[in-house]
Amino acid sequence: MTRFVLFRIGQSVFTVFGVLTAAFFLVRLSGDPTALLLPEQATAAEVAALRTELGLDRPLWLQYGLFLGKALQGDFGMSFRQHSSALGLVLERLPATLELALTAFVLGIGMAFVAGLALRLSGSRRLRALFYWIAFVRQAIPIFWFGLLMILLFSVSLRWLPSLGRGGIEHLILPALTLATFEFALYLRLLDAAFSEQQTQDYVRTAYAKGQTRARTILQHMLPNALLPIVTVAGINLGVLLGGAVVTETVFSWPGVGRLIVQSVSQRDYPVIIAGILVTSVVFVLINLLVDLLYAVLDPRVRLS
Amino acid sequence: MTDPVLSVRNLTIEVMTATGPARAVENVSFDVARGEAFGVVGESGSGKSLTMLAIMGLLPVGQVRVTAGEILLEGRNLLNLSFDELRAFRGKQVSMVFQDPMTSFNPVIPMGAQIGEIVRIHQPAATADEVRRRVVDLLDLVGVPDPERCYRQYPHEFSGGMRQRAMIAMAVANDPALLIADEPTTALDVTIQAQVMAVLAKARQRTQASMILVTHDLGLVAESVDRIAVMYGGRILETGGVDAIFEAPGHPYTVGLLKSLPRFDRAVDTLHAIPGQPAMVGNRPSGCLFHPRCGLGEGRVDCRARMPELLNATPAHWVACHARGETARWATRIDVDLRQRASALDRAVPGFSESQPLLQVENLHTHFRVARSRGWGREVLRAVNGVSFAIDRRQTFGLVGESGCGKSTLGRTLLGLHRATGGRVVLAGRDVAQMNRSRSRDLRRMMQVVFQDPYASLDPRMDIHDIVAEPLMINEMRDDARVRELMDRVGLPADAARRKPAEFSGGQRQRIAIARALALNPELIILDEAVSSLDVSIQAQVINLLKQLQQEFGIAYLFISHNLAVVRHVSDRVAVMYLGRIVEVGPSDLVFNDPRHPYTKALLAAVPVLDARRTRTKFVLTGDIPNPVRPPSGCAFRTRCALAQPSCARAVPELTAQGHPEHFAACFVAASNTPIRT
Repeated sequence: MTRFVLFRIGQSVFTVFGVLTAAFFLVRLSGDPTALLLPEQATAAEVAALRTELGLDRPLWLQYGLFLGKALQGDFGMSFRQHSSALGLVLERLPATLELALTAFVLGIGMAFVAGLALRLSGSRRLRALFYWIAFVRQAIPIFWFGLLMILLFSVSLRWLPSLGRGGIEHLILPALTLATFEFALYLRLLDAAFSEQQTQDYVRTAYAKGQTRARTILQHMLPNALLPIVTVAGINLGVLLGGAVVTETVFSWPGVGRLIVQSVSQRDYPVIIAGILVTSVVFVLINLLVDLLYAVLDPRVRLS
Repeated sequence: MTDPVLSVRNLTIEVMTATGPARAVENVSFDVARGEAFGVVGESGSGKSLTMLAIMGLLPVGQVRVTAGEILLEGRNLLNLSFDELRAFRGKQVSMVFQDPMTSFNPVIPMGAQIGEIVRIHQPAATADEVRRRVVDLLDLVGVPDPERCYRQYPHEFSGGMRQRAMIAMAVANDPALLIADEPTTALDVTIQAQVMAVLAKARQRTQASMILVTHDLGLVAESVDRIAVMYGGRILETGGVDAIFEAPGHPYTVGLLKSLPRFDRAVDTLHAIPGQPAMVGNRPSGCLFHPRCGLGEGRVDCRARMPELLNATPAHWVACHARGETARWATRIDVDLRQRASALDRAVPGFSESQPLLQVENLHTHFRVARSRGWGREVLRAVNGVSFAIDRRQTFGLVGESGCGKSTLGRTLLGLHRATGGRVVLAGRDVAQMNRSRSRDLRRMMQVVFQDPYASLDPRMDIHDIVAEPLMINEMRDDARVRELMDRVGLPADAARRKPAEFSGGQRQRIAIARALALNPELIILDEAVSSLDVSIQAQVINLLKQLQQEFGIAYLFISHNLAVVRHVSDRVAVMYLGRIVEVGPSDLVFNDPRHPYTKALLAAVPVLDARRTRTKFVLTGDIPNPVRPPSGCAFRTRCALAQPSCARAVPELTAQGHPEHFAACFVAASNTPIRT
């Protein structure tokens, strides 16, 4: 087990290193930021001065080496646009993203489990049809459109909730619900499919042959097995959410990491982009690590191999 | 006679098929007396498992339902009970041992908790400690070593045999009146099967439970039960005492089953094969279910017109056949027939002896590097560990051994599917073990393979013509006439060409695989458990086909199987493998009639035989096959060997001649060891 954990941690470090390298070169390939940073009528001397100031006149490999060295110390340079540290800008936005993503995730997966277990335990076909219908409809509506509809209904017509920005819980409700309903639809279908797969397994028949009740067979035997595929998807999906639910953040002007990265890309604010990518990838890798460990807890077969 | 424990009356079960409901079980009646062991024998599709699930009330909801009949357990009709009322019976009055011990346990719950569950359900007052003690006692009863430790272990940490022991422990936990064992040993090796059947007998003795043993293995029922019912197409065709039926079967189907089984005690060259395919659900013939395949009733009006009733031949022997008076005479005629065909076959065999064998394997090694289960690094699994043998042209070389002995790895190495770690493989004078990719195409032209699973080894999206033609296409020898000829040769209908594998039964699929293997006119075909998944009547058809093809095309076979009787029947020479090494090799007759290695003796002793009166020396192997990554030092078999000496741990025994220049065994004590008759 310790070997497995150490191996996965080593892998994670390697992954983050790879992401940093890829980000550095991709960003360099995308063009020269001086053109955007200076007014159009800037002289060649001014351009050269800025290039020297930003370190863009050095050879690429040297830039890369310096970049890695500083990155190890947590220094991604200053933002080209705002005069504060790039990493600081990103970390400043992180709580907002965490708040939105985690709320939506917990809410969505919680609703999915309640609904999924309810339809399994009741065995009702109508309930199943209803939940599936809701899930399909929700999944068919794009996030931005659903978000706008929510604003139209709850902010414009009913005037119950604010439509923009971050503040108290009332600001969180609309964006979180927009994301959570989408997550709900995803996990409900996933959970139900996982249950359907378990239903025909031999061990379920064994449980009934022992004289076990339906409810206990579902909760004690099928649920732990049905969780396994969910955990894998949930890990990836939570990582995506934490990387910034860009569309949702934009629609609701939520000051999260996703929106910051998008803004930085359009401004070619390299240090912020790279710091954003780093934070996102670290979060992603951490979650995947946790998922693997959780998987080992849930499935004893993984512990040995 | 006291009331029977179980009484099934006129049970009829319908299954939903694509064309509407169809009867899968029809008018089945039988009794199981108190303390009795009752066998239900039948091939796939016979309805035997559905009948058992109906008794347990476990038929899949929605697709299958009981439409008529009664199931009386201790006088109460189970079919009238609700789910919750039935729960009180399940696991208490009647419990079940399922076929596949790998999948029948919940993989994420510790074994002790799963066995404890059945105690807790029916004894809600028991404390956690009482349940635990009961489970440990049960595990001890079924011979699971170190029950305290096993209590906390998960199913995947148990071997197949140990899981089936645990399953038996679970089944007898509440002293049930009736124990249903549905193919309890089908997934296990023969030596483990013998252990598990012994445990089952012991557990039954302790609990005084009646038992229904469902199996396709006639040898197993012969040894384990008092009475049997033979099922076919959802009906019972014959029922009675097991001795009476095996001695003088009354139904032509039973005759066919018994004669299609390769046997140790009666050497025949051709097996009697029941022609055609079993009557599947939704496609049952009118009149007598069996008449399209029956050699006795041929052409009789009655047989085509109506299903015969189950009538008694003697007071305790019932047969459903219009011509039941003539079965005995007909059976004798089959024997005469087989003998005539056998002598014709003998004459057809050319006296063939070459100085240069077709395939020569010398000191072959196939090792895998596997991750350690604990700690860092990798360790070496010696799946094939220094194997040498030769196969002559037109010969069949049998390779037997328990699962994990390396026999399949050996076959795959010869095919070039695994890279040999060391040694030489010379095929028709060319060293092929270290061949590169382009030359291995030439190799494959000479050496082909038929795998075990006819469902997984054919691409479901290709039609039959394309499957058979593929080897030709790969070698740029497209030839549609040849494909048609091959299909005809293996007994596939001409209209099969444009159909997909899903439309064919297991036996027919295996014919397709054989046609594909024949396409390039190979010198050698590796048959890796090629008939193991087939029903006995179909198995006999395929074995006969393989023999004919060998005669006709002069092919050599490497016949890999765990089924000793089948290997005995088809092989000229045979090798027994244990943990990566050949422990005994020689002419088939010598190895099987006068086995020298204790492992071979144990294997042979573990095979159930049809003749129940023959007393066998019980030579039950203890324990499981050891972990091949860390085999015992010296002779790898010594840890399970009854004859092991301290000196066996010191060196690996060499293959030495055993009383015949071509019969070898690798055992230090074999020479001094008097033959045990098995």
